[in-house]
Amino acid sequence: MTDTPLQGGVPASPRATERPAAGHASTNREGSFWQEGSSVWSWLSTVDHKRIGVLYAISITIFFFLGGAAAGLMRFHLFTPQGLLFGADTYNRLMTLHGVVMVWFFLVPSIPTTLGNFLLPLMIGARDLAFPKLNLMSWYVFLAGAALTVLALLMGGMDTGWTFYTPFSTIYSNSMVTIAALGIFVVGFSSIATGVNFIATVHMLRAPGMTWFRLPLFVWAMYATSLVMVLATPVLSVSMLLLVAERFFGMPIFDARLGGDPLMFQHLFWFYSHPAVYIMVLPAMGVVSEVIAVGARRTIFGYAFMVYAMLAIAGVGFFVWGHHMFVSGQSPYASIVFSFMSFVVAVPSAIKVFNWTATLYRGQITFAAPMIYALGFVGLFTIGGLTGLMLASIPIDVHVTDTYFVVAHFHYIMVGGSVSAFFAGLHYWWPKITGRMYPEGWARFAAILLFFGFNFTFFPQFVMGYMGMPRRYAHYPSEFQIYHVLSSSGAMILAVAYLLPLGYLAWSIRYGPHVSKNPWGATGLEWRTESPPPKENFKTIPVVDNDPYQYHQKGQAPQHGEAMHRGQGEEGGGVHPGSQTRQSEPA
Amino acid sequence: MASPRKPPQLYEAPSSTVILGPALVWVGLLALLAANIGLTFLPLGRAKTAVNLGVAIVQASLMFAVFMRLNRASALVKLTAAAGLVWLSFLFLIGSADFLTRPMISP
Amino acid sequence: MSQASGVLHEPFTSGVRQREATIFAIWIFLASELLLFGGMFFAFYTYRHAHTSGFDGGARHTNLLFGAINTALLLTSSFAMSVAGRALEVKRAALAEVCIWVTLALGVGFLGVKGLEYVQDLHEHLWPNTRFDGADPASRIFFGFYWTMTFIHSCHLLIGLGFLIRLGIMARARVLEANSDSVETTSLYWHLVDVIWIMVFTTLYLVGK
Repeated sequence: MTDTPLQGGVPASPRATERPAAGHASTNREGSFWQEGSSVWSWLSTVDHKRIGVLYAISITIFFFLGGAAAGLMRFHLFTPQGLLFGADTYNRLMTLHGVVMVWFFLVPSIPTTLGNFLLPLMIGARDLAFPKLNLMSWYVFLAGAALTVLALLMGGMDTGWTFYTPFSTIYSNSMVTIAALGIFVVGFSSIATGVNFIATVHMLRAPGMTWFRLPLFVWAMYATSLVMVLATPVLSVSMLLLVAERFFGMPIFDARLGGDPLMFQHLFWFYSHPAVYIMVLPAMGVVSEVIAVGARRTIFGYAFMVYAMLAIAGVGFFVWGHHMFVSGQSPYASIVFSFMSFVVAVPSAIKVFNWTATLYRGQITFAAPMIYALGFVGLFTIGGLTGLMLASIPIDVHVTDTYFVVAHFHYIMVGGSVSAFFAGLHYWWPKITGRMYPEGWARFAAILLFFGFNFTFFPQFVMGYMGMPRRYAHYPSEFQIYHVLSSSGAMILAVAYLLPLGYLAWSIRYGPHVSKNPWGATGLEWRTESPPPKENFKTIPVVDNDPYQYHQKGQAPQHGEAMHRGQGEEGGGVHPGSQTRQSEPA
Repeated sequence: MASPRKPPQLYEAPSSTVILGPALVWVGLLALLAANIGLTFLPLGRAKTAVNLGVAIVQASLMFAVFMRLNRASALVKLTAAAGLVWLSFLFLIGSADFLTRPMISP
Repeated sequence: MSQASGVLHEPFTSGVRQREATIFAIWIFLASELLLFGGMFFAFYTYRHAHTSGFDGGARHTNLLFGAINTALLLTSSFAMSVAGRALEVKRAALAEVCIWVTLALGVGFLGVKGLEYVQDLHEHLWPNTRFDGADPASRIFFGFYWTMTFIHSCHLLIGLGFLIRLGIMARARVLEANSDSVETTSLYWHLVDVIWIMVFTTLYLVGK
């Protein structure tokens, strides 16, 4: 890296910004949003989007480890064909717990409600979201839904799988389906409130000069995600209501004995739950676009196409839900349409992968932890996407429906994709959020461990799934044992890779070195305010007069020696193209 | 919370439109309701569903346009309302692709 | 819609902008509500297509008189609510307050009539359990929709009544004008609930008769 002299004469080696680990008086948090009251009530009654982001982060972390613990237990159980720990019924309940908690209480809210809440106003140059009280209310609604679901778990849990398919969920299941369904119904309104707030904010509160096509891609991702949240979630709500109406009140809506159609439930359910996949992965795409641009010090390749691709994914994502139902007895004519549309939705996703790759071309790539996570995302997302194409093709889908192949596919998208990107974003914006840098060595180690642990866990599942190992079974024929052992061992590695950040990020809140405004030398308005930001975000609302991602002069590659390192770009990063050349001059 | 301030009056609505405009729509809505109930008992055969729903849609449109003031709303708000209806049509159209073609396979 | 908000809240610095954002946001929510009820209507009409005679047999058991009275009540309440918003814009706060209480009263009246109807329905064994009074099993599904749709609609109405009570209290405290945003949003929500009732009424009481 270059030895860039920083203002104040602090040498620019990665460790240089480290002051004697004070651990106590965190000087640069003076006047930050962390300092606006420290009582519990000041947090519970806050309407500051940054604090609400922190509240959400704490909540979803708890649920992430709850769902993760269930997965860990299941994988441990599957070391042997007979199972090590529990019977089939307990296994079903753990599997359902894992699915419900991970989907609705971690993945759907993960990036939007934490990083999105924190960063969206900062990135567009606003003082807060458009409706701060609504934002706080959405967190309480989330908690209410979470409380109902936890209540259902404490009362014995559910055994239907996260999809709640009728008629099992309505007539046959002897578990807490009603309460869990109500919990999901309630948490849906938290999603809708967040979506409404984000859309209104992006439309109404952009800083002067922040035109639509100057928005960072993360903001576009939040916008597209919010559209899906607002337009898809109500249909999940109604499917849950109809489920409760039938199960609890005896309304025979999906009852095939009277002429009702269980497939109606599946249609309503997947009308939400397929777009929900895009609720999970669009924010991840936004994060990765930010990190890859700064990690390669390169203007994002094909910015406009990145935007169109995200909007196309959000739109076309609504037309493909029937590919979950190819073997359900759905009309084959409908299946053909859904299959075709599923191939179509792969096009914008492929455009994005292509553009990330092209962004790296002739970039000055460095492998800081966020970049490792982001590059991991691109690879894992590509595998997940390509196997998705296999599943979109009806003959292959019929062969592998309800096998581990499907499990591996969507975990590549949701865990390999979304969770990797969540960690990328968490590390990348960690100095902005806390004012402290995380320990880079540990973070790189955790990032690499996550990549290997993940592949170790889920790649064997592709193989055994293709060979016919069905999902959701507590026991299995012994010829699959080698794959299950590989997968379970990988899951233990993965667990370590998830626990590590919990430890070192918590450590860094107290002992991490202080950082400047813009430790990565990144563009973007969020890097032009203090780290951590003051309550009002900006002393004066910034004026935007340039396009995003100006990491180098237009038409030229970034200069040799420019790279994403801490301590670079003290002043506003690459916001002013001229400043880039200045920073890259060797001392 | 900022202190209350005098809202700038951007247009002056004459007092008569405060009641008269909505009242006309109200009378229209009640007339349509009566008409719709009346139509229910006419022997219209298979068209009856469409006629009943058509009248209901006219009523809903009146509510949207005048009571909910879509007629004077910004393009953005009109677009938002349209988006709700368009996405609803996705559910109906693509969902029907299954239910309407299924009998062709297994009569 | 070109009016400005009464009281500014963070992070807005312009009343016109805040009003614009508020109206926009409530419409996003209303679009979302449309899809919530739309899901039920989709299920209903799909089933009716498959079981026309059973569904129409069910529809003949719904009480058109109660339904029509309720529709008239809600249409009138929408009229009153609409006048309330417009009166506030021309600073006739007293008229606005009267209209809010009238809207509230009509909404309560709706729930009362609905309650009477429910009692009668239960008396006629229209709850779709095994003691259901009807030959065609699809009629039971019809009444599954009847109870679900009307109940969920009534829940929405109840929420609307809550907002109306809030407006009424504001009017008593003479702060209605400062909270004109709330009047607008409550009014739009109330109208949407009425629009949905028009569709529910047509679907359950008229289409199959």
